[in-house]
Amino acid sequence: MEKVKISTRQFTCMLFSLLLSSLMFGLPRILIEQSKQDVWQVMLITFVVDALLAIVYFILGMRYPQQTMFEYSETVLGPWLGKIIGLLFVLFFGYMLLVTLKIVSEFVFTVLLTETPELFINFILLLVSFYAVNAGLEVIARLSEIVAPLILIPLLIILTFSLNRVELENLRPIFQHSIWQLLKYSLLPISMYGVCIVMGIFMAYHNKPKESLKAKWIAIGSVTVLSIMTLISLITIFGTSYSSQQIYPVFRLAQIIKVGNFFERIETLVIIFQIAGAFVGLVIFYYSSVLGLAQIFKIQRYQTLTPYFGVIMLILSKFVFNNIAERHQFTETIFPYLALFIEVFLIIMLLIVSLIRHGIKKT
Amino acid sequence: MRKGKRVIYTLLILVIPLLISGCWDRKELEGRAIVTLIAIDKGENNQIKFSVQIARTSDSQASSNGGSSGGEKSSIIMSGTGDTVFDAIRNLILKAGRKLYYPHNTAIILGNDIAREGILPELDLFNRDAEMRPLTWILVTPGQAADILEAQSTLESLSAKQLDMMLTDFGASSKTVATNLLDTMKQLAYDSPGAVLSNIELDPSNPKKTLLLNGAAVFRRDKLIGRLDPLETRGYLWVKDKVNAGIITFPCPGEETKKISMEIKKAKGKIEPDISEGKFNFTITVNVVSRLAEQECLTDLGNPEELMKLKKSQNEVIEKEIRNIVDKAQDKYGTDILGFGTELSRKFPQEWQKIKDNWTEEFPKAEVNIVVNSKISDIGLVKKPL
Amino acid sequence: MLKRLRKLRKLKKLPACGQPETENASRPPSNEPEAEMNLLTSLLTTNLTVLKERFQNSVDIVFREFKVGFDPNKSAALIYIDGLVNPESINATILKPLMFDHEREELWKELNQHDLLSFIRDYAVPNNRVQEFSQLQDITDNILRGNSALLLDGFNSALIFDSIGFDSRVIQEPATESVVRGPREGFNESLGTNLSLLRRKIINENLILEQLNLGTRTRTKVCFAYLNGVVNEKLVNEVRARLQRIDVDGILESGYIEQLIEDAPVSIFPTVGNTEKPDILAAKLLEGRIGILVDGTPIALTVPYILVEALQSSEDYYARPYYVTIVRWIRIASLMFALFLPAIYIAIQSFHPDLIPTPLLVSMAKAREGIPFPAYVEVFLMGMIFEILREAGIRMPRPIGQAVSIVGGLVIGEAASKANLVSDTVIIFVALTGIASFVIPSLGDAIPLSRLFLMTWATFLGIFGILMGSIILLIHLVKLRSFGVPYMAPLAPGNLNDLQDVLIKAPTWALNTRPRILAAWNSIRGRSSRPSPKKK
Repeated sequence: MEKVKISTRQFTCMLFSLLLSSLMFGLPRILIEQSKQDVWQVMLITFVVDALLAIVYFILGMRYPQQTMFEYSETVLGPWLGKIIGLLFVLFFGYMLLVTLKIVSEFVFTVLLTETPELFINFILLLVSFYAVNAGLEVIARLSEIVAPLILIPLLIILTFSLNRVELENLRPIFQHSIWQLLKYSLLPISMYGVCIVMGIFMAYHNKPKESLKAKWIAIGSVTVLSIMTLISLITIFGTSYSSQQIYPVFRLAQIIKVGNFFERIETLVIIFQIAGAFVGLVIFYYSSVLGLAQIFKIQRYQTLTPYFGVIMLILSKFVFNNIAERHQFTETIFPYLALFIEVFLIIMLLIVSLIRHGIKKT
Repeated sequence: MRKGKRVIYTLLILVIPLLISGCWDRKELEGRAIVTLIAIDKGENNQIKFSVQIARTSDSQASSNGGSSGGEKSSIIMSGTGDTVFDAIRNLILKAGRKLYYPHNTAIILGNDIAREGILPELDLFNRDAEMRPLTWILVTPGQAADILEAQSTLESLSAKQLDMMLTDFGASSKTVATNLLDTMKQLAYDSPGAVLSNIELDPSNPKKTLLLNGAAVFRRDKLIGRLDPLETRGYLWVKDKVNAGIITFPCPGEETKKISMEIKKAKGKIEPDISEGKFNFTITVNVVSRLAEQECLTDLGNPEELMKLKKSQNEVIEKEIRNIVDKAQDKYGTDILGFGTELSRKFPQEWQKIKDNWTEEFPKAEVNIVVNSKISDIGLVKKPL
Repeated sequence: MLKRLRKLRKLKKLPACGQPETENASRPPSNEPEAEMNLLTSLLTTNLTVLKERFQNSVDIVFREFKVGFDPNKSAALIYIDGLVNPESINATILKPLMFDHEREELWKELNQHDLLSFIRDYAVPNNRVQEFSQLQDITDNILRGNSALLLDGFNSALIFDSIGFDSRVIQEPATESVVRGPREGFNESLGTNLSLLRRKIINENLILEQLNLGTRTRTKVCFAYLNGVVNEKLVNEVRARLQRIDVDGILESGYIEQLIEDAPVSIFPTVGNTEKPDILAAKLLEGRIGILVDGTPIALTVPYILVEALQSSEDYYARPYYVTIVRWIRIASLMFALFLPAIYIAIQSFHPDLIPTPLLVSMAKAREGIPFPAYVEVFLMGMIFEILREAGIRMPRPIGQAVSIVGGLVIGEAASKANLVSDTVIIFVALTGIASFVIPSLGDAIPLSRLFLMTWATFLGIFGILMGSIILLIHLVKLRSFGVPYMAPLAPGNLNDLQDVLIKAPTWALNTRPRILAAWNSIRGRSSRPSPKKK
């Protein structure tokens, strides 16, 4: 176990940048396409569900202090079953790492560097995150503490300076979907919010574990507010049809900013900070995967695994998802169920078994 | 020792990728040609003719379009053909040598023939490619779009710059529309299957080729079906709540031969859909604030009674402008360019789902009421003429 | 880690710097084999021979032999080094009373004592500091430091008198860190003067000055200062241990020490601060830092050193806070300019010309026409010329320096762009970058190197490269620690309370706490509240 401690602020910042950046690329399109003007209701449902799930993670973390999710799943389920569950978590983090990597490199490849091979972009991203991962959780936490405002401020700048193009008429009609439809549509965002199961790792290193729940609520609350603001300005400015046509609507939003005759063409600068946020997500998934592997197989220093895992990810990134369309289809159809199985079912099951085996009073 | 090795490894890891990367994307500024205007026409054999205006950055001797007063010309025009727009763009590189660079493109001008066949196929590339920006203006011309590129700029050194300024200030007269790629795509995406784009021509009154924004072009879905003259265009703008300023002229109350100019200070337009007994009613409400800007007649208009009369005449003029465009949309074009369908879908989503598919038949039958309220805010510095 | 700390706690305090002119402690172990040779004998002639041998007939050693006035049979010798001592003080306080003092002669006879040495020490010599040594090494060291040694026939120990008197620079306003408002005095090359300057700033018995002699050959006096009750005890132990670990033959400047105690010696970022002004040093001590002063240099070191200190200046605290806040942001902007401007220029020029407005792009493209080099070569070239000019300007004698700057600034800049070697835009960018980096002099190492690093990334990957490069720098920065304090504090780990002296400069009455990161356990500075006129 590393002897590191992270503060509540860092805890919040990590979850914040992780979530916000994974929501900003690609997801707004799918959300608007599905639930149109009612998208804010979907986000609110997501927030409530995830805030409740956070309690489950929190209780587990409090019952097994100083233990990460990989360690307490062994404590709860015994060495063998626990290792298998732990491996499932690692697989999930590995998959999220791959997806984040793909999202960033696809974006860079389409928008910034069209001639540079994607594999090379992946290589650079993995190399830099390798440096961060090996530096340890404390460094990752501090990094996200600096990056979080850097994602937030440019996003607020886009939202503010695009206000002059808002057409509120586009918000109508509202309440066109039934509650069941909304619940169905919120499966995807819930599964995206569910990446917060990394909380199960961070809590073990939190200097005040009791504040974890508060930190997580602040993080998802602010992310929800920001994403609702973004989605609403997308709908009011672009309309639902145009927004659901665009693969990167937030990038488009930055493109149309024009204040006076000089404050324009800022999309690259704005979007580069979103990439920085996604990079933090990448680092967190990378760290979680290798830490998980190390703890499952009882390896003293997770750092020994980092390079090998990175190389595997680099090779996989070449073969998983031939193109963006495949990834989008997977994200829309299969991913939510897989993710919810791990984020919701496994965790709740862990809690139930834990309650049965170790009694309710153990806190 | 171990630390020293680590430093060396780190440096190697950092430097090697940079060296092997070989700068795939690096392209120096002098290797790029900055495209400022694009024109798309129908070429021979059903091909696409793609012309660009390139800002001149070098001192080489090239022909074509010129700046204002002799000497060095500020832009170059090139064109290429191909089966699709992108094919034509790539064929153009064979002629240009430099890589054509599009993010600074101001406008895309569509030729008449291509517009009649539908503009969506041509605009797809501009919507898809990250190099193209959604704020690019889209214009239609009655003739060949490539001719517009040849137009001479008068006050600016680049005609593209001038076009940009003309379109940005379209509201000063409110007699034309200014639509960028984003607006165009939004109009095409809405439930009302029509679009209105700005219309550009070469000024017929000027023997030197200069630009003139003249009215607007009307599209059914993405196909050009006709044009609006400047006043009809303003009728359209009243309804769409896009009038910012402009001049309304009408005869003097006393002397019919003399005219009066009213300057629009503020205008607000609104469409209210309503369904009664299966019939669709639309009420267009326009609120105008204007001021007396000029009078040719010698009557004293500076009293409330006369101003009431002015107000009435102004209401009639505006109502006529709007009625013209409504009639034209309903009868002549049979296309809902005014966005009635969109309003209907917002207010009555359920009914809209039923009517959506045969809206083209229903639209001409809809009843339209026009309500104009105006207010004259001031009469300037002169109480009455001499 | 813990074990080391426990060990550190057991370490003894070093002698105070209060007696900086004596030499009896922390002396490097002598290498001489025969121990008995290191002691004085009671025969004066033998002693003198031994000492003469020890100094190997150096010309500036003076052996003044004389007879003691009130006991004429006794021969004595005063040994000192010419040039290090003040001859007037020797004549007046040592030689004169010993040779002529008749009052003492009566007293000597009256007391009828036999121990002449103690009599001299206790009654005869009115010198401000007298010590007695019998080790040859101690005597030699003291003579070398400018004290004088009195040997008496028949005694196997010597009296050491304070007679230091060499020339040193007067206290001047330092060339660096000049201020408009604030004290003008700066340290000079004499440790004694420097300590006195510091003492005069903080009149408190808790200002502790501990001394070491470092450098096996130079035996330079090094002193570290801290405020007891403010400073973190662990930090003091850590500094003491690191200083004691130093093993080099010579310390000529505090820079030697800086490089020997750094946390991250391979990092381009400095983890030890320095200052030339006593008021700044005093301020740092009050914040809970430790200062290290070295004899022979006006530059004092301060540890721990964190990045935000580079953005603060002493004047920030003397002036009223409002404009200072703007100045803080100007410094932050300058730092950003100095780091990113050339890289962004390269990225825009070679990868993303879509970032700048069309008219600017057209004129930039026009300026670029006919230039044979790609943008990065252009920037590297101009950057190098700038650095050459800067270096020449520093090394040149001042009158020629101006000529260099004219030739460099006007002729080369103008001619290079006329000759189409570089574009005008590059000259503006490089000049702006250069000037911006002068705003933050304390990061003199880090800024040019990081800039070069970012430029390289920008050359190959454009703005995405800049992002990756800056993330690498950022990771490095948050990883760094200076004496246990995170380098990027209070940004990461963040502390809102400390940030009010970073992002803004809160008024003095609001800055009631020390940086939490340095003195978490004792962070209250004072309890002054917002001043307001007295209510009646």
